[in-house]
Amino acid sequence: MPQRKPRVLVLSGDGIHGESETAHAFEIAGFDADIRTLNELMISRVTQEELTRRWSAFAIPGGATFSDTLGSGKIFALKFEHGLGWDLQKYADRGGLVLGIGNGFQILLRMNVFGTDLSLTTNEAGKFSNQWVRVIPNGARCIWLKGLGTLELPVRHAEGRLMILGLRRPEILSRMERQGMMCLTYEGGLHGSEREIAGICDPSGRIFGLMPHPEDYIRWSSHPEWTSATNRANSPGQGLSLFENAYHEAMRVL
Amino acid sequence: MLARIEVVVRPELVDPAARRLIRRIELSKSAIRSQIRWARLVDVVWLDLPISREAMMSHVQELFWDPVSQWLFTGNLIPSAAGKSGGLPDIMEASPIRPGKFWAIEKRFRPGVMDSVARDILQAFEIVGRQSYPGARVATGKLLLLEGAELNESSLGWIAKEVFCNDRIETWSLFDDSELRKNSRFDQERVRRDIPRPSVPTSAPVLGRMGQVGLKSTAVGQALGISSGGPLRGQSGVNLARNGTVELGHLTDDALSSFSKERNWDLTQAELFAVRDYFTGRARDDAERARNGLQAPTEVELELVARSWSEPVRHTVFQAEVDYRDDSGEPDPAGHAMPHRVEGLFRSMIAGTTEQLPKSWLISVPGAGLPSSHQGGDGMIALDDDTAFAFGVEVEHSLVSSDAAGGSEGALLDLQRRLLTEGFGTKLHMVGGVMALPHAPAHAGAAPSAKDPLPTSEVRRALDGMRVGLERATSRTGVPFVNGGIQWSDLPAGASSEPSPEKAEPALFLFGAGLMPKRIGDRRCESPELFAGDRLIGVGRPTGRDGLAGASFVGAAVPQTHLSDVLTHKRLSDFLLAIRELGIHRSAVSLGVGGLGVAVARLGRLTGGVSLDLSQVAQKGDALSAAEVMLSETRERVLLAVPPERVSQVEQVAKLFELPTWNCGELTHSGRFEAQNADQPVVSLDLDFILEGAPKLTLQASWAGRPPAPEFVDLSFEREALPQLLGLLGRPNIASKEWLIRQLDHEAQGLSVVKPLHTVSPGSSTSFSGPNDGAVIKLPVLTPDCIAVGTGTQGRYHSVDPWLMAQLAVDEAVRNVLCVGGEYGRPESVLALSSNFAWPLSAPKGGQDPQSLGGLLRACQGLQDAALALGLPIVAHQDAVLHQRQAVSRDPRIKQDAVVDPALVIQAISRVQDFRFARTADFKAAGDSVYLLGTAERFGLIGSELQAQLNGRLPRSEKGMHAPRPDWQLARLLYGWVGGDFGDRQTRLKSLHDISEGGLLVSISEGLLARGLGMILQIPVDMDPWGFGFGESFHTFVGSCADSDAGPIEDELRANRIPFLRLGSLDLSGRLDLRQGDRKMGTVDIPRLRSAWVREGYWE
Repeated sequence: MPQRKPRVLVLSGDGIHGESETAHAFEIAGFDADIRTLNELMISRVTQEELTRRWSAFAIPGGATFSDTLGSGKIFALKFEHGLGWDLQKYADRGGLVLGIGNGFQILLRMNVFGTDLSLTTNEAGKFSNQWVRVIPNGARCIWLKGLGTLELPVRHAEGRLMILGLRRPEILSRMERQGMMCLTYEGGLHGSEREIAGICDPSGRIFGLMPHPEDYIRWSSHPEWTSATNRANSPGQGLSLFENAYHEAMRVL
Repeated sequence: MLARIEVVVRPELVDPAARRLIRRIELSKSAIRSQIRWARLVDVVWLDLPISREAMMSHVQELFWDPVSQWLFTGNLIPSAAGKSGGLPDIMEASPIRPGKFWAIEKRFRPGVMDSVARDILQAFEIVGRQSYPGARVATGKLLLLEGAELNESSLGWIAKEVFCNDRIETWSLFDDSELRKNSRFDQERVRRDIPRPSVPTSAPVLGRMGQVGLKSTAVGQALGISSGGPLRGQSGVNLARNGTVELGHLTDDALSSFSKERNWDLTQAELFAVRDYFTGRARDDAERARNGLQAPTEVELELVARSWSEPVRHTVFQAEVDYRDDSGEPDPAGHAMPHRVEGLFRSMIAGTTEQLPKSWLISVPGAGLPSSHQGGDGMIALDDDTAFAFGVEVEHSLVSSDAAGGSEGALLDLQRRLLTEGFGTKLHMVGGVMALPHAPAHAGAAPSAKDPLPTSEVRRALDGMRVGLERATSRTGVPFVNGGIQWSDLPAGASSEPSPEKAEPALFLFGAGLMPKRIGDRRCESPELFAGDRLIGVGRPTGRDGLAGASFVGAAVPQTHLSDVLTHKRLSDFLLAIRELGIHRSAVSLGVGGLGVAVARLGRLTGGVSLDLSQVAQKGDALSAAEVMLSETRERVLLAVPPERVSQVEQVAKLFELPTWNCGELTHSGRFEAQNADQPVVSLDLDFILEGAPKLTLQASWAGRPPAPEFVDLSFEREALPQLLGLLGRPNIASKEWLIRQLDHEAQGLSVVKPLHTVSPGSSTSFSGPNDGAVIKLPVLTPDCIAVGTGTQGRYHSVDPWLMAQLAVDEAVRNVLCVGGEYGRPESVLALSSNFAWPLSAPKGGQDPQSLGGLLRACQGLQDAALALGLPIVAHQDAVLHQRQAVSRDPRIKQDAVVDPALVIQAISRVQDFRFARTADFKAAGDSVYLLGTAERFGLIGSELQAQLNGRLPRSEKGMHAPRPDWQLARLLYGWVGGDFGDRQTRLKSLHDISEGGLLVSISEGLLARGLGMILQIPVDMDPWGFGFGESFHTFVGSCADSDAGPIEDELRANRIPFLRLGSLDLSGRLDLRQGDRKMGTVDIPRLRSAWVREGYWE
């Protein structure tokens, strides 16, 4: 008997452009993916109930929503909140998984999913940068990173420097630490990001945002050095394991 | 409610944007940099919104303020989080220098320049206010706050002009310390004054010119509309009649010419006469025209014909008859004589080449099966039974030179939209291109030094602007920039060191590619089935005055720029792919050069007629006249042909993407181009007159032969070879482009297999990247198929022989694509070319410049000879023939002739059957054997990068005293083996890299850089070492393989009579040792090669 597959809702439109590869990565991991524009969801008035009922996971891919005007992710986050009004925390509490990649991470952060007084701002050098980095999962809180070691992943962004409001910095850092939120850090730091943070999860570990792009490393042959190990040409890339973790969790809840 | 908002980075934090600006100042003029002690870049927004003070307060805080990193100033609207004043004095007080001496430069857009950030901000207000604000006004600007006791008005003026602003699109004003301490900028009345008026320019080029013939801007609409502004008089004495028509029959030849000049038409005298003949002959007896109440030509008709026949639209020079004369008195070095007469360079040498090369996998190519006036364009290739691959190229010059950032962004988005509207619609997977820049600095040493001047601020500005434009266009559309380069024009090889009196300008050569289904239902992607009665539906940005300064307005002395609206572009792109899935439109065309009129005529060709109502075209409130609506090149618009019963569906989908639509006409089979403005007929012409009515030009071309042999200089190879190698590695055409590549998104969509760089130990502190030859991306399906693209451009050889330049460019592009895994040799091997020309002519269209045209003809012949020899069709073509004009200098005192350098950029596109066949250029492991594939006998020093480095001279050498020479028979054999036609060893090659700029030693060094391996390179004893080490060549590669594969590979090459030479083995020494027999010829360690190649701090 064919086993029921979990579904993922992948957001698109208004300048998101990573929807195809994000959906593809979820599909390789075992999901069925639905790509929907925010406008479609708003027009058909998809409720929080429906989200929970139909989709095991919800992803906001990378892109440059509203041309990054007023800070990347800002206007899209407002449109999402005013247009859909979903409470992602509640969605997670009821078994949903949420992923924000790049611009999607910026959008989640601007919706205060990870608390207030955090920001992702312009890289220290003021430059857009496309390079590969090493990132280290920390702690066991984040479901997406469960059991993973150091990962090599591409980053492609101009606004990926995590900052914390100076006045409340100690308090926020200790809370984040206590709750296992600082779940992914850059080896050696990047772009001046606070505590070398590359990704954050919420205290439940089900909502995860990160600047690097795991969906763009699902085959070894997209690694910048793969031609020196062609015997592994058909191997998967390390990024795929995040989506596989989500699949196992979704199957457990389903 | 009016408001001014200022947002600034908190004083205790680094301000990256300000820091980068200061760095740009430092690179251009360090003396002024040293006057600046502290800086902040402030975002400024002016608002005029129909909302209450309370709503303004809460929305402004919600939208503009990120308290983690910013302070927000609003005067007394919102109590400042920062301090007492609610304005800049707060941050001045908090700056590290107190009491400082502050200045500020505030910039804003000129009236009429589209401000898409302001549009996004208004949208954000509408989201949080949950309603729309039709009459609202929003404008954005920037304020650069500087502290420095030594700063003065002149240094600030320099900063504003050279670094901070582009005065083509922006104005700026200076505030001193005392002015800054007042907060009057926030006063309601001041804000009312400060908000730029929406899009009402005081003079746009076209209107300005119309003014000269007496068409005052207020009268333009009236002259063509119902009421009349009375007779209008211009300097030429040509008047538009009350109904906006002109009696051409009454004009003398001179009056006609000066009328054309006043109107900025790009028409030759013969073309003008053809227009007059049509209107005084065929049109006078035209019953249809009479029925429409038209007799003399209307302004709309004249403008429509003039734009349709302009060089950028019709590509007149590539269609002209060319008579060629060889004045050299020598046998042609090409080995055959050039044709004495060519009936159209495009027809006979571009389209004509492809016609001779039928391939089962070609779906459509430029020029095929279409009437001769269809020029250039994109092509489609069948990758398999289901998938079509669309490829297009574009060259942009004038918009890039007037605003490098906006022009580059716009050009790349234009190309994307063209491909998005090809066939059913292309989903784009890659773009790329070559930036051509003038005047690279001359330098001979490895390290920057005092006698090695940094590039001028003009060049820096152009390059930085292009980078910004391309970065925006790629990172915001998610189409990766996978392959490209920079071509610097230095002094021509063999020329003296006198700088050229002409001011060369930047140009941008772009390509783009993507996929679409070959069939949808019973429709095929290459043949749009259009029917009379199909509606013409415009979608996208409303037409505006900003489009009246575009590419086809070549007559205008100063091209302006129009900024892009990338959000609308992205929405259009999403929309076009959505309607492709639904199959509800028949065909689409992007509104680009020439505007609505030209696009409609092209669509109308397919059914044989068209009818438009200009009053239905959505405008953005600029009150354009009918002629202006027809001509405006406003971007981010497409025109769809839609069956009438599908119109409402198309409109619904457009709404989903928040795109306006307008239903503005229909296709007919009347043979006519008819247009009305509401009830008033404004165009009634034979369609074929617009498309085919222009008379053909006949142009003279000549060639004086190759330049005399260069001077020699005595150089000892043992002493000089390595310093020359280090110098070459740092030359701008060869040096690392990593600083640029990393700032462009080259991996979006996650499809990359071979990237612009190979990287060893990515993400670690020892990571190092070296160059790859081309790009490979995997198709986004579950098959191993890939697409590869490689670029060839050999501008330096133009001064030797444009025929040779083109041959080398084709060969380089093909080798690049084969290096990364392309296929060649079998009938089903998919490998094709694109050609992209920019060519200067000293005379305007129709005038004669035999020398330059002779060069163009030779370049076309070189392209054709190489393409035919290798059997490679040309699937995309573009050309920009530009006549010299007064330089678009930002300093009006400098009057120079501005030209582009003659250039031909070739792309080779190939299928890679399996991603496992893809290769990179880096040597992989110690013990591997290194080979030269091909023969060193063909290496030539004339025209080489070494000659350019030695200021046109060459080391005395017994061999190599010739330019590179092709041997296409050898090429077919070698490429067939590398490309998988025969043999089974080529997949054992662990690296492959072509030998081009700089020669063999540069190629080997580039392979060694990343991994830091070493080798002892044996120069054959019977070879001249200069020619061997530095000669450039056709048909050669450096490759490596595992030692265990070396024997079988050698056997296979020998058996197939493919020449090769074993150069040595890789080792762990970290050194490159040169030997000839037992003689030691020099040694250099890899870190020195790396630092020569990287040239830190040179560009950023």
